[in-house]
Amino acid sequence: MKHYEIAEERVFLPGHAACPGCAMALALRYILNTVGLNAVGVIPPSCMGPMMGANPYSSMRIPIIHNSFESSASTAAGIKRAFKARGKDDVHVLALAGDGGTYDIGLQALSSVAEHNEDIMYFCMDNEGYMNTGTQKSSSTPRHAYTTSTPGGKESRKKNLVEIMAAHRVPYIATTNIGYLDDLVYKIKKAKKMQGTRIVVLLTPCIDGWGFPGNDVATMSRLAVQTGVFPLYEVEDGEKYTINHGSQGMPIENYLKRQRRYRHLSKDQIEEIQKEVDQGWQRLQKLANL
Amino acid sequence: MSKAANMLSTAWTTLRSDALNTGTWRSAIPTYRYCPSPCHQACPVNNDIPAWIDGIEKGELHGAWLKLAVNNPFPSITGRVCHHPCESYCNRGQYDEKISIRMLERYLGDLSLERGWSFPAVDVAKKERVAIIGGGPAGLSAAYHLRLEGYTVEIYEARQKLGGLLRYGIPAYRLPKEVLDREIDRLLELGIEVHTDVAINTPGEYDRLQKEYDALFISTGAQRSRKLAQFEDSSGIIQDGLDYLYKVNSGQAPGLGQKVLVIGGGNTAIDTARSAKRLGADQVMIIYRRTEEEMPSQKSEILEAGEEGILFTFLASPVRIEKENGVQKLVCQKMQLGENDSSGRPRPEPIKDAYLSFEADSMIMALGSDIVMPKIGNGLEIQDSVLKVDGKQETSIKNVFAGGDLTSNIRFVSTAMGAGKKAAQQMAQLFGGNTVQGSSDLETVSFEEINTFYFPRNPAVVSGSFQLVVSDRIKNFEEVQLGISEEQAIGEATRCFNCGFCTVCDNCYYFCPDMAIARNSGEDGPNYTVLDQYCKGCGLCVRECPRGAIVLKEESK
Repeated sequence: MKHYEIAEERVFLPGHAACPGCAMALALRYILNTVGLNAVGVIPPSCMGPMMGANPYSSMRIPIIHNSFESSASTAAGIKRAFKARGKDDVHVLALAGDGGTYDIGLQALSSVAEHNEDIMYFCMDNEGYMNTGTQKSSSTPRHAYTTSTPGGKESRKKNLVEIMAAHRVPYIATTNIGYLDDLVYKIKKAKKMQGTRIVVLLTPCIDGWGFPGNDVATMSRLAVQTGVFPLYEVEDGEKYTINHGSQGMPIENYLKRQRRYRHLSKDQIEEIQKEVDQGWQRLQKLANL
Repeated sequence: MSKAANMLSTAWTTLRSDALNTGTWRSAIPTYRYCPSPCHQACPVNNDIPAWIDGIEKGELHGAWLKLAVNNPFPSITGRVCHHPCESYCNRGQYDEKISIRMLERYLGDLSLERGWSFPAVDVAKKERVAIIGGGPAGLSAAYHLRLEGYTVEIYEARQKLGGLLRYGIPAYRLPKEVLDREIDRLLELGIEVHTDVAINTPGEYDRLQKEYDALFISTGAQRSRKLAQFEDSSGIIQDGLDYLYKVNSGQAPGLGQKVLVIGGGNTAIDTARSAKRLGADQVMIIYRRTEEEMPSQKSEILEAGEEGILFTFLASPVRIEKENGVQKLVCQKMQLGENDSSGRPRPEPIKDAYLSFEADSMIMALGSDIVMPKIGNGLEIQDSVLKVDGKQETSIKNVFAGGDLTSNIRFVSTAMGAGKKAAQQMAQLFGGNTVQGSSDLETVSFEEINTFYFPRNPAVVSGSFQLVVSDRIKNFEEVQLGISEEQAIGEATRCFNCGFCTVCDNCYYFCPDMAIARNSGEDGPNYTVLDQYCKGCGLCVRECPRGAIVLKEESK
C-alpha cells in the first residue's frame, strides 16, 4: 500500500472555523505547512476569512492581510515588492483566494500580475461557486450545476482558468486536490522553489454547496480526477504540459450522482456533460503531446 | 499609549486559535477499534492473519512468525495441508483476487525452520498437570497451548512416533516427514514429556491417568474404517484405505498389482490413489457414487490427482466382485443424483439394471472412518456418531476434555488443532489461569469498509501454487507443491487489505482538516490519539482509513 510521508511545519492550527470535513481546510493545512513560517498571506473575502478565526484569534501563524475582493494578486505583488525593497527577498507571499475571487472578481488583477511575472504564489481554492455567501454561481460553476442563482442549472460552461493563465506564459501553473496529498505537496514544494508568478488551482469539493456526505471530500476529489472532470497537471512557461493524474475512463455519472447540485439532471444532460469532459480530456492530452 | 497606537492594536490578531474548543461542535467521534478480519474469524485456530501479514510486508519476519505462532505452532504443516477457509472469506476476493494466505503461512513456517527460530521460553511454572491421549494435531495443539501457559503436559501416543494423521495419514508428497519432525521437535523443546508406544486402552489405565493428572485431553482420532457389508468376506484383494496409508507412511507398502480401484471421494481416497500410482500401479481409478462437485476432498487435490493420471468414475456404487477366466472384476451400479440428504448434498440413487464393471488387481476402500469410543468411565455419550463434548470441548465426565476427529465430523487438520486450542484455554480457565478468549462472536470487517483507492488492482503474486512437473512427481514421494521466495511473499503481503488491523499508515493523521489526530510514539498502547478538544467529528479519517480500523461513534451526553 502507498504510504504518505509528508514533512510539515506547524503553521496552520486547529481551532479554526471551517466546516467539519472541509476540503479547503485540509488543502490550507498542506499549503501553509509546506510553505512554512517565512511567509505572508493575502486573503480576500472567501471561506478562508472565517477559517482564519475571529479577531483576536488566528489559525495561521503567519501575517495575513485581508484585502478587497478584486485585489488579491496585486496586493500580494505589492507586498512582495516591498519586501524586496527592504532586502528581504526570501519571504514568500501567498495569495489565497476562492474561485469567485479568481475567476470572476480578481481576474483583472491576476492577469496584470501575471503579465508582469510578479514573484508571488497564487492559490485558487476552486469550489465552483460562491459557497461562503449562499451558493451563488461563479464563472467556475460547471454546466448544469444547481446554485441558488441558477436554480434550473447553469447554462454556460465552466471557465478554463488554467488555459487563460497559460496564455500569459507564467512560469508555473498546476492543478491538484486533496484526494492526492502527495501530488498536492509535491506541487507546492515545486512552486516554492521557483520564482515569478506561480499559480496553483485546487479543486476543493464543498460539502454543503455541492451536497454530499461530510466525510466524502477525498473520495469526491478523486472521482473528479478519475472521471476526467478535473485532471491533475502542470503547465510550465505556458508551453510544457505534464499530466500527473488523469481520467481512468470512469463514467461521469459516478461523479454526478453523488452530488445534490446535479440531482435534477436528465439523461441527455449527463451525456452532454460526458461529451464535454471527454473533449476536455482529449484536448489536454493533445497539449501534453500524448 | 497614544490614541493612534491604541487603534492600530485592534487590527492585529494576537492569539492562536488552538486555544479554542471546536470539539464542542461534534456529535460523533472516531474510535480506533478491534474488529476481526473475515479470514481471522474463519480460521479454525483463530489466527490473527492481518497482523502477521503486516509483519511480512514490513520485512519484520521474525516478529511476524511470533505473531503467527501465538495461535498456530505448526505453520509449516498447516501452510501445506490446511483447507484454508481463510482464503474463501478474503475480502480481496471481491476486488481482484484473494490473498494466498496459505502460501504466506508456509513461507513463514519454512523460514522459521530454516533459521532455527524457537518459541519464546515458558517462564512460569504452574502446578497443574495434564495428560494428552493421542499425539495428532488436536493433541499437539492442546499440549502447545497448555505448555505456553506454564502447565505440565505429558503426551501418550499409541504409535512409535508423534503426529497421528499428519504422519500416518498424509503422504510425504503433501507433507514431507522432515518438516513434520522439525515442527514437532520444536514444540517438544518447550518441555513436554512424551510416552510413545503407549496405548491407553483400558478403563484401568484411564482410571490411573485421571488420578495422576488434573485433567485429560483425549484425541485418539477416528481410526475405524467404514466397510461395505457386501465385501466383508473378500478381504483378499481389498485393502483398507487408512491402513494402506499407514503402511505407505511407515515404509511397508504392500504391492497392489497393475490395476487399482479406489472406492470413495474424500482426501483418503485421493491420497491412496496418488500413493498407489507412485508405488508403481499402472492404472488407478477412483470410483465415487456422487459427482466431482460433491467430493469432500479438497479441489486442488482432485486437480493434482487428475494431472498425475488418476482416473475418475463418478455416479457408480460397487456391488460385487466377479471372477471370469481368472480376471477379477468389480461390478458397480450406475447412480443418479436425487434430493438433498441430511449432509446437504444430493442423495445418490441407483439406476435400475444399469451396471458398469472394471477389472481390478486390488481395491482400496476409502469410505471414511468412525471413532473408537475411549474406555473411560460410563458417562461418555455419542452424538452424530462422534464423542459428545460441550462448546468448551469438555466431555460429560468432569475434567475430561476431548477433541479432533474423535469429537467432530468436520475432519480437517486445522479444525482439530482449533479444538485442541479451545480445550487448552478452557482447562487453563478451570485451573484459574488467564486465557485469551477467541473472538468468534464479533462482526467482521466488510469489503465496503475497505478504501480500495489505496490498493491498486493487482492480481495475486502467488496465484494458485507452484508445483513440480508431473513427470517428476509420479515416480517418488517428493513434495509436489513448492514454496515461494521472500520477494514473492512480500509482494503478496503488500496486496493484503489487513482488514481491521491498524498498520500505522498515518492516513488518519494526514487527512484530518483539524489536526485532531496525534501520533503516539510509544511501543505500547494505541498508535493514535483523537484530540477531542479539536475533533469536529467529520469522519474523514474513518473514510480514509484503508482498512476499516476506525469507526465513528455517536456521542451522547
